[in-house]
Amino acid sequence: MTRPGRLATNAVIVLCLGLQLAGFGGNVAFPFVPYDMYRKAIPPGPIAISRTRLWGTTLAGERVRFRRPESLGIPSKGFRRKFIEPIAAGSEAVARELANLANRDRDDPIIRIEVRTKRTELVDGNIEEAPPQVLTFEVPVT
Amino acid sequence: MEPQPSILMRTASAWNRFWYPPSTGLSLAVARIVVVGSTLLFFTLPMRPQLKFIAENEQFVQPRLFVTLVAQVIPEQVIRTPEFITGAYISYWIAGVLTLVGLFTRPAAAAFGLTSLFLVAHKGSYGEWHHPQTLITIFFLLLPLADSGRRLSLDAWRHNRRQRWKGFLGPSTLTPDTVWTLRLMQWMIALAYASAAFWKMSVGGLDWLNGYTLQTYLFQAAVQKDATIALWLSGQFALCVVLSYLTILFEGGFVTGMLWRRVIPLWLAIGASFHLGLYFGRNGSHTFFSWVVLYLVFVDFDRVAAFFSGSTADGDQ
Repeated sequence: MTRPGRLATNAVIVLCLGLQLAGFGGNVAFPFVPYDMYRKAIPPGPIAISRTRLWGTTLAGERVRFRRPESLGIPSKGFRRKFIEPIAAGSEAVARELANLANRDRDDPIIRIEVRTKRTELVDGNIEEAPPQVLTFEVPVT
Repeated sequence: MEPQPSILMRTASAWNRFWYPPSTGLSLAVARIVVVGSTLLFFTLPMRPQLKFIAENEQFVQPRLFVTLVAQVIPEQVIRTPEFITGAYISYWIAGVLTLVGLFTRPAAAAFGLTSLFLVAHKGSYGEWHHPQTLITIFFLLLPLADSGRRLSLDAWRHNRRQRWKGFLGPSTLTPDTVWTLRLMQWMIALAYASAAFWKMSVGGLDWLNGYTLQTYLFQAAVQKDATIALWLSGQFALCVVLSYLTILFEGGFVTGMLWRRVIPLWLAIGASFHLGLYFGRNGSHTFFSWVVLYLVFVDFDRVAAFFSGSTADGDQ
């Protein structure tokens, strides 16, 4: 390696180390990112989670689960905020918007949206589930 | 009496010894083949969601730096077309296969690194990205900067055709110009773990070690992924307290392996168990494979080859 080549390599090393260290402070330059997953502490108390799932029923009677929002062109975090939370709160307009979005690529259109919210708790190492809350929204086929 | 070298000279010398030790380039070549090959086979981002993101969003949600830079040269309206994304994928695959077999390795690796970064950053610009993709992308960006096609490549074979198939193995002479890439990736991995420990301690603080935190995360995984091991673990409070301490110890302590290299095998063994536990605990995840594939940058294949051939190791990684 020539001297300028070695200098350039040294610069790359320092730059990469610097960017990775800068990631400790937050997003600086993708792909040098903060590894901040699972960072929140959970205080002592009952260990329970609330799980919400969206299902669609098609005109032919098939049940489909909205599992991979990216296949609808929506990032997973945005999907929760934009669709799951409003629909679970009872928004019929958002349920129809979701069905219309999914129906763009479907020959067998979705005519019903169902949201199931289930609270699950850890009791003595066992799962205890409360009966699910179910909301259903009819979607007119256009 | 000879004059003592200055501190600056000694530092430069230590720097060069660390980053530029002699090697035949075998380790980098093996890392090139395994990491590129496994990425092409298992970790390539599917194209369909990228096309859906274009169709369903009028603009980037959160443009990543590289996409912003590309948009300075190519208008965003052009980038956000199915034709451009399809072209990027075709380039990615052609460059990836050429890098894998080591044909025109440096330009191919440069194209592969840039297209990989573009595809990850493009998806990330709509808010969808995952941590394992980032480290592998950094590795691909470093590949063209060193001679990763020196060994185990069609380029090596082209330069040594007289040796027939043995030409593919490339020269076994030593060069100081390949190991720095692997050492830099080792640091990237160590700093990524340190970052994970740092965020847990700076946001969660000592409460992160209370056992309930890990119990809850495991319980979430157990319920969401129907993972029986995670469910069992989430019910073991004392074990979760111990595992919480071990997690922070591992993530924060891994970097010591970079300073005292003899302990690296220990950290790698703990790390592999850690990721294996996550894999089975969460009922399967690509995260395990992509991290463990990257562990390959810690293996000195010159020593491995020397061990099997019964000779002295040439390299030093």
